Amino acid sequence: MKTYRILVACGSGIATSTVIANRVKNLCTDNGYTVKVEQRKITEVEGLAPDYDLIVSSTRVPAAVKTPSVFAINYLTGVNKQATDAQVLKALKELDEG
Amino acid sequence: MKIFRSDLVWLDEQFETRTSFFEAIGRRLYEKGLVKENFGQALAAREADFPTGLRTEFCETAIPHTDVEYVENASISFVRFRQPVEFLHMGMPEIRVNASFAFVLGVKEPQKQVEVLSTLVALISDKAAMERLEGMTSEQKISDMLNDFFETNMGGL
Repeated sequence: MKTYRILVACGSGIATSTVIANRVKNLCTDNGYTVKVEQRKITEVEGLAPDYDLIVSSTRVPAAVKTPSVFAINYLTGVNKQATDAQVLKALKELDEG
Repeated sequence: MKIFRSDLVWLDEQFETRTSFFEAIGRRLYEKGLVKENFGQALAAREADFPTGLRTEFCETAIPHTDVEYVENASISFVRFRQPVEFLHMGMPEIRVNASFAFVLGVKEPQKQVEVLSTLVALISDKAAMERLEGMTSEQKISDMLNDFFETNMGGL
C-alpha cells in the first residue's frame, strides 16, 4: 500500500502543527492508511508542496499551491472536529482513486 | 514536573493593546530566565504575520508563541485580562477575537510537548474548566487546577 506524504503547516511550524500532526497521524492510522507526516512553517509550504500528497494546516494555504489541502482550525477550537476528519479522509480517498 | 506555576499566572490585568501585553510578558519571562530578552518582540512580530487568537464554543482566547530560538526553558503562562484584548483569529485573520485569556507558550522541544499542546487545546474547548478559570481568584488555585486538568487529561487524547 502506498505511503502518503502529508505536510502539516502552521505559522511557526512548532505549536499548532504539532497538535494537528498528532491528530492526523492517529486519524490516518485508525483508518488503515500508511502516512508520513511532517511539520513545517506555512511560509515554506509553497516551495515544498509538490513533494507532498496532502497539506493540512491551521492557516490558509497560498492559492498558488496545487497540492490538495485541508484547513484544520477546528482541531484547535474543538468546534466540529469530525467535519475536518471527514475532509482529511475524503482527500485521502481521492488520492486512492488517483 | 508540573507544567503550570503560580508565579506564571497573572490575573485581571489591564492591557491597552496586545503589543503592550507582549512587552510586559516578555520582560517578566526574561526576568525569570525562561526566555531570551527579545521574546516579547518576537511574539509581536509573529503575531503580526500569523495571529494566534482562537474562538472555541465557550471562550475567546489566544495562544501567543514564537520560534524555539527565543525560549530558554519550556513554560506555559496563563494570563486573565480585566478587559478583553483584541487578537486576530488564527487562520482567519479577518475575524477579531476578544481574548479574555492568553496562554503564552514557551515551546522548546515541540515533539516532547505534543501531549501538553494537545491537552491545552482540549482545555480551551472544555466549558466547565474555562468557567472555573473565569471565576477563581487565587494564582495558586488556578495553577493547581490547571495541573490537575493536565494530569487527568494528558495521554487520554
